[in-house]
Amino acid sequence: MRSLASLLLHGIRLGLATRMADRFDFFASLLVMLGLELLPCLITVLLYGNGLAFPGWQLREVILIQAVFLMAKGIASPLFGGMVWNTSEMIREGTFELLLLKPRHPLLLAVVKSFDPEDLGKLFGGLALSAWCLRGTGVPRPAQLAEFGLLFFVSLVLFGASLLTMASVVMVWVGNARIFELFDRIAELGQYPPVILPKRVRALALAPVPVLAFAVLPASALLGRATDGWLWAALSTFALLALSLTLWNYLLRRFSSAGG
Amino acid sequence: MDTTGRDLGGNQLRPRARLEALAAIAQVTWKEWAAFRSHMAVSLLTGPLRFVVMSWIWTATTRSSNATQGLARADLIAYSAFALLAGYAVFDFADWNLQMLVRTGRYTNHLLQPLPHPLFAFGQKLGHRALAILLEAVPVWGLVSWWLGHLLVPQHVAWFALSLALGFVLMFLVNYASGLVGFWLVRAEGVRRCTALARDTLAGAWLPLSFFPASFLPLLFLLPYPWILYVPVRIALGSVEILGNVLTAPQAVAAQFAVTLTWTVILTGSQRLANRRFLAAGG
Repeated sequence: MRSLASLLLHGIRLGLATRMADRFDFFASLLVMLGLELLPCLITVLLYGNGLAFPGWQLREVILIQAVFLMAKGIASPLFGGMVWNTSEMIREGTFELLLLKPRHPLLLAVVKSFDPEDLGKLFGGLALSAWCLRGTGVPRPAQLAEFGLLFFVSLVLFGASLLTMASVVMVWVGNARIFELFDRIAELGQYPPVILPKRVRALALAPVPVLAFAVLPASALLGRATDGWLWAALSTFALLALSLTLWNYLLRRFSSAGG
Repeated sequence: MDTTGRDLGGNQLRPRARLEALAAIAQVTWKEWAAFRSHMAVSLLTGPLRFVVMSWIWTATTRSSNATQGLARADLIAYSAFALLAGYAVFDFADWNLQMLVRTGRYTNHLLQPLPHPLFAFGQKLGHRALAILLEAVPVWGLVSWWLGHLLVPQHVAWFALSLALGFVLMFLVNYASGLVGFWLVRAEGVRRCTALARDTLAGAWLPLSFFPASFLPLLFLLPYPWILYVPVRIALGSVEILGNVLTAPQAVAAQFAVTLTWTVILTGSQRLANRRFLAAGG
């Protein structure tokens, strides 16, 4: 366990040192990674500014969904996001084999090698936005906070499982950087109040494609709103995690040093 | 051009030969990118998904209002559809490409060619986008039309096509100009992504610009971005509303033409300045 922690810390230190070589680019990237994710917030603010609204949802409540999304992504992306890009690049260049020669599980090494602090901008942005929203909606009670903690953990697992699935897919779909875009478009469904979704889609968004678990459920917990169906969402999240691990191991076994 | 900004060979190529070179570059780029068709085909999923989300947002938020900023719900949904489709036509990565060439020193090869690099890059864009229209815009247009239940056809088709062509050129000019930052900064990826985000937002790719605060709009229309996408999309919807004035399609295209001309001059000047900084080792 100690060696695992030391390995992870080493990866984080290395990731930070790499980006510190060009600080201007790093800080610009930190801001832009946050800026890119603020698009749903901008859309929401402009809609409300023009007299439109999501029925039954106040502006700060909607922004809280997007802030929670930012926080979860701001934790999951620095840890696991780089793995997708790195795996894709290593396979394209033919250097993925180096991971297989090392005395640790390739998945662990792929995670350690990929820490990228530029996504931390999302976490800081998400925290600041959440604080602004909660100032307007009221401080949550301990029970709400506990429920939020549980659902936020589910959200992190969902992010991790999604990123792992993408890292697996790029083993066979070599060099396709647009897989992130595909993920963003699907996740976008979970960055607005569920009232935008037609009823049948809303059920699907809990299970088997639990997009509502990204941010809508944890934010609803903080707001004291209904979190019906959270168990289904949690179950399908863990099923997705199991599936992504199976997929990674299966594709790793099929890996033939020539792009899968 | 050499490092003092003088033309080495670019102007020696006759206009007809330049056109032939442009066509040849476009053709080669088409062939090159056809090999990556699965990369472009991702748009068949991401494009409709983006449209569906926007369509659901408009449906949910406009339940109680008839029209917002002069646009009814159907107009807003059509706006999102046209913005998405026009985005495929004007999309550009000349900035990324130029910065990569400068950073790696490969820009030197272009200085030795008898064709100025902006023209070379424009030829690449022609080929790349022609393929994208075939592989991305046409199928997504079909899917969006199917979702809407009727064929999505722009109003003033000819003016829309002309405006889109100007938007295509303007997007290239603006992007290439922002790519010139690579001559001053060794690693300019962060700045490039900042500019790209601001460019798309201020071009009206996500929401009609009339949704932006009124005090900000006069400044916004002084920038080139709204003329890239917002103007063609509003022509497709029937009328172009700029700062409370409703322009006809020909008036809007004429204004767009003037903006494009201005940016051609700006780009020519700034490219000369940038070339002087180039040392074939990252600038």
